[in-house]
Amino acid sequence: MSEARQTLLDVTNLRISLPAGADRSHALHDLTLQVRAGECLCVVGESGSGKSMLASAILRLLPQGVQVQSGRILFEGLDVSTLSEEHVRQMRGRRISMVFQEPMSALNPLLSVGRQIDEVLLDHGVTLKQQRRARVIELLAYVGLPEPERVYRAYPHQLSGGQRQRVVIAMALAFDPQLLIADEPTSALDVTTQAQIIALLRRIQQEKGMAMLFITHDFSVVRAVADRVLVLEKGHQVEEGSAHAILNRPQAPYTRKLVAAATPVAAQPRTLPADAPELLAAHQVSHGFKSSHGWGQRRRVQALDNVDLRLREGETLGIVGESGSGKSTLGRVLIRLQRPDSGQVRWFGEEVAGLPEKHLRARRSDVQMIFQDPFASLNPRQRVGQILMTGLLAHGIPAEQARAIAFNMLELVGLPATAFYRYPQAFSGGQRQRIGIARALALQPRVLIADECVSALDALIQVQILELLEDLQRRLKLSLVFITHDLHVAARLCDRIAVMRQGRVLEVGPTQDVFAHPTHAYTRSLLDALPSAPAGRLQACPEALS
Amino acid sequence: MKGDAYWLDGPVLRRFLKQRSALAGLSFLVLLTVLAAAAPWLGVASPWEMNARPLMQPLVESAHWLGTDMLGRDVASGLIYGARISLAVGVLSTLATLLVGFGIGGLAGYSGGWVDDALMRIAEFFQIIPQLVLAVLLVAVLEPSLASVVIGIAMVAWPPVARLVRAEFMTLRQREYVQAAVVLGQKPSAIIFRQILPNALAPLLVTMSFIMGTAILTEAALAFLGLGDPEAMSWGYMIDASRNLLRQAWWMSVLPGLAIMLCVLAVNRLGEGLRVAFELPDRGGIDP
Repeated sequence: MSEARQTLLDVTNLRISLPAGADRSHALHDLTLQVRAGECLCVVGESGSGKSMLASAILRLLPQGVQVQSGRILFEGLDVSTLSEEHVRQMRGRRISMVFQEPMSALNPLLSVGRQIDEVLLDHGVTLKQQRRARVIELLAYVGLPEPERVYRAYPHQLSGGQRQRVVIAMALAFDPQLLIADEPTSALDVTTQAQIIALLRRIQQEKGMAMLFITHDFSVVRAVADRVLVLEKGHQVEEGSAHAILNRPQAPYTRKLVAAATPVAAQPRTLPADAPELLAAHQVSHGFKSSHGWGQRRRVQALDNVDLRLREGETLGIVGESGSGKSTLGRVLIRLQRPDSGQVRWFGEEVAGLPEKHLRARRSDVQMIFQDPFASLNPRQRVGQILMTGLLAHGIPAEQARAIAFNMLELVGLPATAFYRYPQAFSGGQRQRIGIARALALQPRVLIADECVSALDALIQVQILELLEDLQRRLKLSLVFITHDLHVAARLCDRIAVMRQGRVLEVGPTQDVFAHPTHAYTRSLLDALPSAPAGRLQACPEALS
Repeated sequence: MKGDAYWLDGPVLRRFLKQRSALAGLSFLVLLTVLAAAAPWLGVASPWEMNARPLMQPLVESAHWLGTDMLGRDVASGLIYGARISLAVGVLSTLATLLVGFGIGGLAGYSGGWVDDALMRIAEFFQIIPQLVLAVLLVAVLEPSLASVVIGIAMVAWPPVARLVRAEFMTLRQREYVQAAVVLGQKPSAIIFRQILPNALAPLLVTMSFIMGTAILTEAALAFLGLGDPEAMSWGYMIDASRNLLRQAWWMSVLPGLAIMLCVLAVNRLGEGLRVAFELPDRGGIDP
């Protein structure tokens, strides 16, 4: 990266104040950064670090009540704050454009995607219809969408998440902007799609010589795109430097923690006794959902297709797959929140697939679940103590004893005893997930099913929760079914991994084997999609194993 | 467990007390209830007693400060005794409506499938008939009395409640915390009363205030049409009695009209205040 390159975006001492009553006084605190033409600067931070406010400030799109208090934003030498409204509008979309996190909400569901890109061109004064249409088709083809003529007429809901994000990128590229601001453009996507979108952005950036301000929370994404990195913590700039330096020699303790959180840690290979009994098993389980396609067209979607799986005592089984692979349905069938269409589900050797809820209730204490969304999985109208005691009271344990157990559980998951008297709203995401874990453990289950239980959390909190789970599993001799889309997480925790796609289990095997010698092509593509393949790391640093 | 009920908790009460209009509504209703309930002991004369000069203007004689009607009956005591019937009908028919709406809506929402379909078709059947016409018909068939008025109002008012309860149940049933309760082995009845219901309370309270307001209005309309309880003085009856004397004695219709309006307004403000008080704060939390 040559230093001689022209500075495109120059932010000096930017301070953005938040309205009174927010959790802190400033969204950004004296931030200084430069983006030079043609380079990619990654702004990294956890949720609430103020990174999205930066994007809004550059485009002068800050929400009501939030304002730039001091500092200066120069774009191509012009102070953004002094420009007229019309000038700023011209700048947005032409010189700077933006790609958002959630492509579905960035697109208008009532207009065909071709029309939407067409409107961007029209708004910026391309009046010739033929010329606009040609440009839109060219853009759609450029971002790698097959059959651009067909996509032109398609509506957002007819495209997949990855395709939608490509459309949003095509729209952003309409005028070959100098600077592309990408705010978490891959966070809502599956791993393989994520890799494709990152590759696409990288390609575009190099071909067009465009600068990119890439906002993300994910260090594995940083590794894939960044030339330079800036780390934010609660609005303060923690560290800035070349991607190479930050990733390999992070200076600030906060950066070090973040980098470590994104570095895959392998599970300690454990040998289960050969006669470890089978606790949970699915045999030839199939399940389908009816889906409606309007005008009475109905189709059956096969969410599970002859799935065979078993969990042995003391083992952690990972179920890995992208969204729509049926992994969550499998989890729901295993915990019997869902009755499968056909096949057997066995708990401790006993067939439960067809058992009515009435008979199942007494057996439920042995198999428990940790849910995905820590904000939706706790009843907001109950105190934490009451939440923890629910299961115990339902199983006929006297109130005094249940209370004592609830306090024990709080201690076990590292929460203060005072949490007992408070409502879930008083806690952060990570703490809430601890409450969810405590609730599941209160019944002293032998099997725990965790469905994406860390995917809604920030990277550092994820690590804490995973460490807690590992620790609890060792101490309580739990057997775990761990459902996740994240191979890093699976690699860290699981003894065996089952890879799922379109309702089928493609391969099952010990974690190391699956990572080192994947037998199925799809597993290989999943592993390749990882910005940093854990397989290589497993071999490169054997000390990580111990 | 100490402080088990969410609504007795600090923040809810504090949020309610912060709203002036809700407090005003509550005080008005409390005052009216006390006056109406204690009327015989407060020395308020019977509203049927014809003991004064007919068509006396308000604020002329202190003994009949709101004037008298064409038969020399005191308007003030009419209003106070009328409040008895209005409030009783309001409260009782709201309870009856809730009972029916809740049972049917809850059953439909929790069980789903054909039960849901059947119950919702019945609800639609009631909704396609104009409400007042049906109420008039029911009361006329059942002979006018307090009970028949309450039944009449409940029969026409339950479908919206049932629909709301059903919708709330259907969405709440999918929530992760309800699923968690299933996994924990909680019984369906406990799940409904401890997990789902407290979370469906806020929208229900608002509907309740609407029902109560509508019930008071419907009662007045029925009494106006001569279908009120013949034993009891009511605001609707007072307006009915005065309709031929609108020009000569405005106070006879305006005063009970005002009473109806203020009463419904107070109920609505109270309902809105409760809704705001029960609303959950945002997702935000404190960091570890």
